[in-house]
Amino acid sequence: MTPRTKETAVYLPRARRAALATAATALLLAGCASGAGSGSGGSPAGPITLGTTLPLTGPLASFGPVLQAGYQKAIDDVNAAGGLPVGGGKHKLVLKVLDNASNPNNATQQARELIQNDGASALLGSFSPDLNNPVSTVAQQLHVPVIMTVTPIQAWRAGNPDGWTYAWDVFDYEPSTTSLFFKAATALAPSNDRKVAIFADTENDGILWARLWKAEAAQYGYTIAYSASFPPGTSDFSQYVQQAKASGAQVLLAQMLPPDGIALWKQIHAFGWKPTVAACNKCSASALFPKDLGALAEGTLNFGWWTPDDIFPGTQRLVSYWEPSTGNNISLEMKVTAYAITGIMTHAISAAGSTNSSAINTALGKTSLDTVIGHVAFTGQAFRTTDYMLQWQGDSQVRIYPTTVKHVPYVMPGLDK
Amino acid sequence: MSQWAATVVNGALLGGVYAIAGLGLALVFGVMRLVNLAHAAFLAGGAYLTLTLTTHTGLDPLLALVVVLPVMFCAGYAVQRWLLNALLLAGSQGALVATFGLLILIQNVLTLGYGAEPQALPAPYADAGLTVAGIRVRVIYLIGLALAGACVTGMHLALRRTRLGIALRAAAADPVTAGTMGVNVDHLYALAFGIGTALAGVSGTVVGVAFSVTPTSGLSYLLLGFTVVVLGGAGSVAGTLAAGLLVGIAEAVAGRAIGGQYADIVVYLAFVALLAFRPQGLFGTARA
Amino acid sequence: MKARKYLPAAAFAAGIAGLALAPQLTGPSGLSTLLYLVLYAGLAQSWNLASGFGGQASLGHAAFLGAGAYAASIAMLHGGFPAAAALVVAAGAGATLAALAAVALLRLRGVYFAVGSLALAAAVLGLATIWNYTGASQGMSLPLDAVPGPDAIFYLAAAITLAATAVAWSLTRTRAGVRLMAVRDDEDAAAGLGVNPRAVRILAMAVSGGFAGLLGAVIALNQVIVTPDNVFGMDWTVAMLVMTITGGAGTVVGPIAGAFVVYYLIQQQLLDYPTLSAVLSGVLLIAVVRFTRDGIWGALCAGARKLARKLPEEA
Repeated sequence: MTPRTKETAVYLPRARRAALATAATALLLAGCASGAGSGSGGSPAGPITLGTTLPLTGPLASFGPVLQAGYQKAIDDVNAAGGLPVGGGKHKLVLKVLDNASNPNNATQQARELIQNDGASALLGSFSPDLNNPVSTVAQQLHVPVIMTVTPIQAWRAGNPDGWTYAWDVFDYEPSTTSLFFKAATALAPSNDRKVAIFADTENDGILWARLWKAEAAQYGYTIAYSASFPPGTSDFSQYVQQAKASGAQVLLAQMLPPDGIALWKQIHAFGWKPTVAACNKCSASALFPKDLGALAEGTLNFGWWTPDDIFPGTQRLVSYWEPSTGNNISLEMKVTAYAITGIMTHAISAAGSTNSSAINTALGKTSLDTVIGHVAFTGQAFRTTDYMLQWQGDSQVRIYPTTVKHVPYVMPGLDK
Repeated sequence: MSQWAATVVNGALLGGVYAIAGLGLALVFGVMRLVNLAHAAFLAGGAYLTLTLTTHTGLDPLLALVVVLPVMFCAGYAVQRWLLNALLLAGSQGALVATFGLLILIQNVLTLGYGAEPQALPAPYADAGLTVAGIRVRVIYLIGLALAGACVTGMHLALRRTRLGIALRAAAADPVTAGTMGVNVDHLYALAFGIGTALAGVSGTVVGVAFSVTPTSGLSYLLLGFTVVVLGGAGSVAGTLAAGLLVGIAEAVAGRAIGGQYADIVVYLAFVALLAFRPQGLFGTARA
Repeated sequence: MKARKYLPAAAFAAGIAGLALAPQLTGPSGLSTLLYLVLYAGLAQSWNLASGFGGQASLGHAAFLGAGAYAASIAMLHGGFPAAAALVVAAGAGATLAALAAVALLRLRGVYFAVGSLALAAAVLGLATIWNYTGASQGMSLPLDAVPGPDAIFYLAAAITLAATAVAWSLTRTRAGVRLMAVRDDEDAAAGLGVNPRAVRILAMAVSGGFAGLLGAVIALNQVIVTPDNVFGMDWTVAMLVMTITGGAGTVVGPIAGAFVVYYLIQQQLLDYPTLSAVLSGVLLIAVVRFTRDGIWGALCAGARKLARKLPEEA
């Protein structure tokens, strides 16, 4: 089956020289390596297809298109420079996208289709461990590499106790990120009473983060005054909020879905609880949060892993390209990171000198690349991004820790102190 | 102790929303023994209609209901008159399945039109709280309960005091005989369904203001709504209100006592037990 | 015509032959699509046994699918069972849960039964989400080396679906089927004629649940990662219901036809537009229930019979 081709603008990373050097070396080895190992391809004849199965509809619909934008831009940039240099010739890249409607069953089937039906030489990841663990499984079974982001490393590793060998992750490592919250809370509100209320749903992330927060609190001088656990889709938090308020907790750490987070924030205000520090993970990670909540969103925390303050070669161009329409928030971070991992994958294909999946996989393991989010090299199939604390200020998520950027206090609007 | 009082009070208030959701289901079920699975979609649809109106006119969501309710009534009337009536005549599960088809259809049309992300209906009282007798409550829950009371009272009076209401009850009790007495059963069924749809719109709007709305938000209210219908005893309007309050309280107390992750399961299992051992509910009459 | 008598048998044989050769004929990607088609057909058929033939329209069948998937996963992961043994465990789990559900809901009829089964399934999903032994909401990951290859998984699915279809066919031919349909159509009359409605109901649900459990295990083997949402989710129930009813509930071929129309003709052709395909499924369901008696298959058969009557008779 011949994939569709696209004619679009191109960009060539400054790491091109490094890529060409590596490619030249790889070509020498290619003669010995080609044919070894399973997986599709050899020296490519036409366009090279990268496949991705994304949640363009369904509960995770806000995240799929963001990743797609990042992937597509990277591919467009490569094509604009004439294509990806692989094995002596330049080849156009094609991005094949399938919508899994936020359903992991679909993600599995579509990952297989992309490889077997659409001839994808490699896959670009989906969103979250729920979708990426199935995709990683397919990658593992069919020996075709996949690179992903927005997939916390510990939860992802839990999906395969034997260890992934064909899946690669560029994102945060939960134990490190969860402890960030305590450090940031102390920096933001030094005189807070060190009492924490945890609101976590019973999803994967919710259980893991609650467990980590509880384990790490004491280390940073915090105690867990109250902890609520509820199924995703809960909308009435009246009694949880009232109990949290009664416990005297001044720090709120929440890990839940966006609709639930929005409902909770309204109820915090209604019941007159005034936490000094309030974090809403996953729930405040979209522009809908300030849009739906207005002034209530101001000051809410969320973790990030790269911000427009971190400029590397090639980054400023992307920020200027995307920030006007996307704004300064997690969506921007996701787009830039998606761009970066596409760059890592295309670099590996170039380095492998062919579309042989095993060769690409081996090349990925040897990655040591300056990307738009910084220098990336893998340890144990993963690269840990830096942990930052972001805060909603107006309609931007501003990096406030660790940094010297001024932060705003989290104050419930309209309530007297 | 006042903590438990607060839990019970807020649970009861939220129960007002459940009561409105249950009322729409109860009316349709009571009149034509039909479980309207599309009620969930009408709930979300009502919320989205209100959202569109408020976004374009800046009107308050509850005021916007003045326009939304007639629209929803007409839509429901049409659905019953020209689709479901024929299926009810044919008997068996045809009408139930058709409402299921409507549920899928409407939910996905809403997704196409509005996207799947949560949207909140903006209102100044959406996140306001009030202290009543030492207990902090949400203003929107109070409004929900007031609306529930108004709907229930209105329905009760209409069914008992107006000719239309009496005709409706006759058609519900014995459609064949009512038909021979000159009652236009087709029209009455459609009327009931239209009112049920409008009620779904009311509860949807309240939910949208209190929390947020997505195309599938109505589903959890479907099961809760039906719990209210069964508990209240289909056929008793006042029973529906009482049942709504009870369900709200039970949910809140269960969550407080055993934790949120277990509360839902307990409520579902309690519902199954209710169905098995007392399907006529608290206020209904036992049927063979 | 004499040949007409052998048509069903011939069709069945052709079907088996086709399925046996499928992996050679289609290639890996086509096989994946065919696998899902067969899985859906099998699930629809299992639902058909309880609801179409048995008259118990259950909205909670996903619970039995999930029970089978979970049982098989627990057996393989914690018990070290090979896949074949895990399937047997899965069938048992699905059948047992279904029998228990039937007993719990024994006194309910029609819509009460439907809503009760919905609540039960919701409770089961909730329980699976908090059960730490099976990884709570994270679920389980099957050991990759214990999972059979795609060809084997396909043959398993095909065999189970054929078996379910055979059971459905036997219901149209045997006394057991007559008893089941008698209970469906008029329970009191059936009881009056000496049929034990309770036993019939429970048995029908158990068989239906057993098949759903078996297919759930195959799904687990195919997915490798088994989470509560994946296998206990309402999506499966919706699919079973829509496919069976649009195809023709209470018929043997209906569920298969329905799976073909909904999965292959609608979903697969509209892969880029899943919401649109869901809208179409809803419209189709309404149209089928409004305008046909036995679904699409029933309409096709009726149409064929009309045509046959118009053709001149052969000597």
